[in-house]
Amino acid sequence: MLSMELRGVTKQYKQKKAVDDFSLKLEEGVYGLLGANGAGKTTLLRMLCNILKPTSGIVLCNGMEIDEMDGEYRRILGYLPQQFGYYPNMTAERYLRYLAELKAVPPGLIDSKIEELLELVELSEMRKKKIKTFSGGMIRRLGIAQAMLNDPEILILDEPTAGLDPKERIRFRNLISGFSKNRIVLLSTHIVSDVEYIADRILLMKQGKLIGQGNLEEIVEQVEGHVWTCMVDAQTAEEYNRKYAVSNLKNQGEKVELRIVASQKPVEDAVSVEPGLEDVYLYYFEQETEE
Amino acid sequence: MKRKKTELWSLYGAGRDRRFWKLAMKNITVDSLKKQQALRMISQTAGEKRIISRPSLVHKIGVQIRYLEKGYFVFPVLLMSGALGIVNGMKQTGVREVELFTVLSAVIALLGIFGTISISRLFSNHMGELEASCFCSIGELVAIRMTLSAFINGVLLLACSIVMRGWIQMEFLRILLYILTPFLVSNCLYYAILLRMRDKNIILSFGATGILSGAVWSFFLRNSLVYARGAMAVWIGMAVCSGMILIGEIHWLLKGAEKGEMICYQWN
Repeated sequence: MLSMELRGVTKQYKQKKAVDDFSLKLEEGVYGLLGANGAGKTTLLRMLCNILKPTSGIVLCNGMEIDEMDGEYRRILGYLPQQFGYYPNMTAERYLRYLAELKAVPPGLIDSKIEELLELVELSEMRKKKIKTFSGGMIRRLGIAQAMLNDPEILILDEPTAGLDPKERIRFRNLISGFSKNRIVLLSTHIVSDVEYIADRILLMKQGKLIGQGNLEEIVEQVEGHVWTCMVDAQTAEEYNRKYAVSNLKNQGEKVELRIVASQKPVEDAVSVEPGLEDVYLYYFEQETEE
Repeated sequence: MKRKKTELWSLYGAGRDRRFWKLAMKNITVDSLKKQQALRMISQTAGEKRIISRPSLVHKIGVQIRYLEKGYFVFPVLLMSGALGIVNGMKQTGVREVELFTVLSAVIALLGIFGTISISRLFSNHMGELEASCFCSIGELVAIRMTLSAFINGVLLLACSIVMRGWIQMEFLRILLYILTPFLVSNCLYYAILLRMRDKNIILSFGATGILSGAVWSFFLRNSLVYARGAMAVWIGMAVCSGMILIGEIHWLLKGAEKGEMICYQWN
């Protein structure tokens, strides 16, 4: 069974510890990495991709250090960086062909693989067009296609759905769900609903550390009793919005219904409600989001 | 039975494979059910196995040649041909040898730009991070592009030296030295830029440095004393020093690319 393990991984760049003594074991399945901006998610993913070397600690794949596996590790890896790179003057097809060569995809499989993936991300008609003419969503879809070129056993996606419209996001979720069998898929995103729908396990990262992990129920359970709703007038709603972490605000005629995430009951007539993953995000990362 | 066995092994020993197997198969009863099961298992295992390709170094170089924009090969040739054309024209008008070298040095200072741009392109448009996640390591890609650029420039510089040798009365090695030194010094500058600059400003900086260093060379080299035999030691010193600095810069670049911090924080 495929497995990845991080043992006490730390990455320090200049004075800042982007990732701090991070330990984690990943087995086959889809993992959603949640954290505010600057939590160290991208640095962690880069280390998992063997692009950045940890300052201390080790990353293992099936018990072997990925640094020692070198190219053999990257052979089974697919990666979509947050800032997806491309040569603007290349056509989509030529670009995929170039990356297929770099990924050492067997020459006999390159054509069929490109065909299959362009079809999958609905870019077949654009194959001969230069990438610089593509929209943001199309570029992102091309990024997803390149990550899957070598049929990776480990797929790491940094903000994969950024720039995709709702229809494309749903398509992406289905694509990942179908692809994830017998593989490790790790995606980092700000879009909580993506994680909610496709991740088997959720990882919460804050200030370079893993602060929680579990399936959706286990994670949501952690904030049970900390989510409240109340009806207030518009002026009070504004005041509470500044004072508390408000996960939803809905106008109901003259009144406003607020959904507040707080450890203590915020107002006397507030009612405790079932939490969702967005509430969890707000509970853990509200302060950092404001920063 | 014993005779049969002996006959069988004598055939095997003699290397007559077909007859050996024919005889051997006669003595084996095949369980068709087990055979089907075994074939199914083999087919399943083969299906699960990842087909692996191990590209050779020649293949990797071929890939880089195929996907590099043709301008990186064409422009240096055009530049050098143009320079030699100008030098030839000047020679016809009876210009001094020193003046010829001045023009050549200014152009040669620009020659290294194409190679360094082709390397910097590996990291442009956020490609470095993506390329670093592929089977072929980013260090390997940088090294291949460096080798290609060194090959093109080496051939051009050598050709230029041979042509110049035919035009002027000077030892070949001395001509080579006068041509090689501006190339090495300007390359030191380009690599220094490559090591320090961020992606978006890099092409502009290369261009500005190339033009500036070309101008500086053509200004200083107008003095005929520079090409006097007595100044040879200075030329050799400059060539050796810039060559050593260049090696140091290349080492730093390869190390930085492999470590990842340059790709992720500086060039991204």
